[in-house]
Amino acid sequence: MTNNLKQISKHPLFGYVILALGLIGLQLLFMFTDGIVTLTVSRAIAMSMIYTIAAMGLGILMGLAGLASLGTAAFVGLGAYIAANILISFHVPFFVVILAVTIVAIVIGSIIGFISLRVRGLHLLVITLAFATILNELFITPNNFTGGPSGITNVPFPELGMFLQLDRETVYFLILGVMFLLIMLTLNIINSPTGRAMLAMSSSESLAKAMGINVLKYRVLAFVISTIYAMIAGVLFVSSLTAASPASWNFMLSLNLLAAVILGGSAKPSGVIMGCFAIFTLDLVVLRNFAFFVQNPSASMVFSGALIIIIYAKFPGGLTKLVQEARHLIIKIVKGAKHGTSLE
Amino acid sequence: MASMIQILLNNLFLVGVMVLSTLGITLTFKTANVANFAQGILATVGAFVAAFFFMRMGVDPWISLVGGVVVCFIIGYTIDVLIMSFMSSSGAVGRVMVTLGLILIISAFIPIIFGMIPYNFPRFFAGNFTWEMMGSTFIITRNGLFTFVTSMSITAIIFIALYKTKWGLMVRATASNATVAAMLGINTKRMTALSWGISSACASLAAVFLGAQTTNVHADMMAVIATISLLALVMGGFTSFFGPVIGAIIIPTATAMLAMISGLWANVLLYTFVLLTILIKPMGIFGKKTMEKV
Amino acid sequence: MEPAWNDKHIISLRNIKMYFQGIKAVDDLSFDINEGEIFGLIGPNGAGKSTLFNCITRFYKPTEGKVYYKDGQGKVLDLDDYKAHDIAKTGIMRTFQNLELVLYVSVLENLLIGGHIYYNSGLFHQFLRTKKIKNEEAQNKARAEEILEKLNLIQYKGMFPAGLPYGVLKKIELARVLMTKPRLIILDEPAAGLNDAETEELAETIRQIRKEYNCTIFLVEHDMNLVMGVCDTVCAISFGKMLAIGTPEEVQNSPLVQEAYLGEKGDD
Repeated sequence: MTNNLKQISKHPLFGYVILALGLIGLQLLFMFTDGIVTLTVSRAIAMSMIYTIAAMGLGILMGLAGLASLGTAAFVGLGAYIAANILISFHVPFFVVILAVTIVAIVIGSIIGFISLRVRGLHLLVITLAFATILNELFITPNNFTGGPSGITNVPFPELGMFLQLDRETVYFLILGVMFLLIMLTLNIINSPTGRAMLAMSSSESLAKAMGINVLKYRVLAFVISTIYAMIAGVLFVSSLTAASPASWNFMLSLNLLAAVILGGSAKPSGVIMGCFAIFTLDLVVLRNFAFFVQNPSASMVFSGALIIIIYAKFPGGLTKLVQEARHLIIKIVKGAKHGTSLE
Repeated sequence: MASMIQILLNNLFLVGVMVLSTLGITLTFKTANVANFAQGILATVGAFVAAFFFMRMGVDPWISLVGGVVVCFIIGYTIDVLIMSFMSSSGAVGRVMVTLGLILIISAFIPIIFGMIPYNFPRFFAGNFTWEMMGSTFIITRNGLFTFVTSMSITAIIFIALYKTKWGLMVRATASNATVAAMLGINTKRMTALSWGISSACASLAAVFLGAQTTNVHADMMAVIATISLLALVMGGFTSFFGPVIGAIIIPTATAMLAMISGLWANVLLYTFVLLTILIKPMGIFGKKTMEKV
Repeated sequence: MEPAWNDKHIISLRNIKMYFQGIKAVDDLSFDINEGEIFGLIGPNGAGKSTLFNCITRFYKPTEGKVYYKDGQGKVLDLDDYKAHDIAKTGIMRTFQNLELVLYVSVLENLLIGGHIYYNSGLFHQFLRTKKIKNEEAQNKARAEEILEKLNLIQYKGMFPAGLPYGVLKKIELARVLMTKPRLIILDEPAAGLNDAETEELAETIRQIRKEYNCTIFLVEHDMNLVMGVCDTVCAISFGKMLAIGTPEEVQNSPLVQEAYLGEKGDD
């Protein structure tokens, strides 16, 4: 029996399942009790999960493929507008929305991927920034697709299949479900030849070429994957808030997502989740209880900014490394206690 | 034709602002080897400081301008001494990431220190120049002309200093190879700190000029200009000082022209055009191609 | 154009020229390598050794000249038709002077990167982790372990390359090369940075690889001891031009080679 438990706890998804159950529990507490979990907390966790999805894509791009992008937030926005338009105009199940957005993401991701083969490093950052600026211009310029500066409101909640119409509370489970599926997908990518090819490419392009790895293919693929993740996050954003406005996907969101990935310190979903929850949930749940942060909603960005600098200057590896080192220390202490020896 | 010239005249002040901002970004990039993504927000601080002096303390606009620029010089210098000098081991990407972190920190502090309501700043000169030529009337604001002339003069002075003075020689030596420059006895740490200071000062001057012309100082005022400066840096090529500045003249001029044709979509068209240019000439219009060693 | 082909050869370089902005890095070099031999290319720094083999592996496109190569099916290929990332599939594999290992994944995963061309599952199978990809993964892992076992590296399987001794890293790189099932291995200055004992061990490993994996080995080297010790044929070049080719003794005794290595005759 204990052996069985041990085996289960070693399964790579074990931690994620526990997390998912915990998050389900939180929402159930919110829905069926009076005030143990507040609306703010429920909303904050839903938003953190949405940002986690976008950040996981960025994590694949940065952590696996060694590329970088400053356009994540703009792609979240694009996904949101496409979803809003589909949800308003057509009565289609949720997966059709995802499918449509994915197709657009593949096209855009491919374009940036091809561009990325011609320009490197700093050039690429500036190019992605320019790309994001173009999209932001599209968002705020008055037109029917984005609704201009005031955005789109009154988007209906999505429906799952034929009968299941979601509402303000149940859309949380949709977000959680999509996040969980994408966690599994991310793990599969990391452990696949594709993931290793991207790693090889980020380590050295000469090495990758010599090993028969087509660098163009994997650069394009990395951008396509991260764009899909970002745009799916946008779909969920609109699904849960029922509105889309251009202020939601500014450059600061891109930077915060970047900070979350850097703070997490790894392309693995565990790292990205730690980073995102540390940056977004902490801000939305904890800091908002202080009057100072209520009056100055932007103040929490100081932490994201400072964390980026500290991690690059003093602690490469971020939270992932921190947790690993803590675990080593605990194992050492436990072993030391068992053998009755002192720590020194 | 006449209306086109008028549009260029209206746009002249923006060319001045862009050139100063791009000069700043190029200077830090070349000497300190950092693409300073935070320069725009840093410059905004300068504009806020100047506006604060003017509005809250009743200081004369000219002295407020000097105040804003000096504060920005100090902030830039301090950032290099306190933060960037510890980042030498983390490579170009690490340093860029630090400037991205700085954006978050500085933009968090602006509303805390200066509040969330935009500030006003007066034009340095009121009124317009008007003249008749070839049967049409042309008009330019005195302040716009002043901005353009001052910006161009400062750029010229910095260029002359770069190429004719000992300081300029040291900057260029640091830019071409910091290690060798250090071996030759140049205090490269001081050089990079100084270039952080000077480029922040240039950028804040640009921000104050922009604030004065539009009589409005707000947190996002430099966002687009900083992005365009970075694009100008890439488009002009990393190898020269002149290229980016020429890029900074071309881009706002082209936007103004495009605005005549396509109105609302001018910016989108322009960015697309710049992207295509960079794609066709990845090393920049004035850049040199280097061979990759395997 | 099919060249006059001697079936003993595995690769044949014809009149290779490589100019960089007027500098003749490789100036009209031709030679053949026999199947199954250990062939050494020596020359002083800047002789054009690296340039030459970058021409073979298609990292550079030669200014002029052709490289022909006989693949596993006995078909003669003109390497002009191949891009750098297609070369691995033909059975030519190179190593790097400055050890291109991925430092922060395990040694086993580094070997799996080497096995990249032996995965046939599409993205669909990879992303959903189907039976097909699991089987391929198991096969590649088994092969990687077998190779690690043979090269006495199995104890490093789960470790990160970061922090392992340099000599071990060199052997790991060779193990990764073997993952591609190569027919022609090009080693780029493998002895650089090794001490005498490690060089001797490396020589032993190279002989072992030739014997057990039926490979032809093309050694580009600065270190004369290693070249003279293991090579069947040696070619000496200087300033992009051929000085001598033949057995190690013949090349060693060639006056031209002595001149290039030791300076003008009569100086000493």
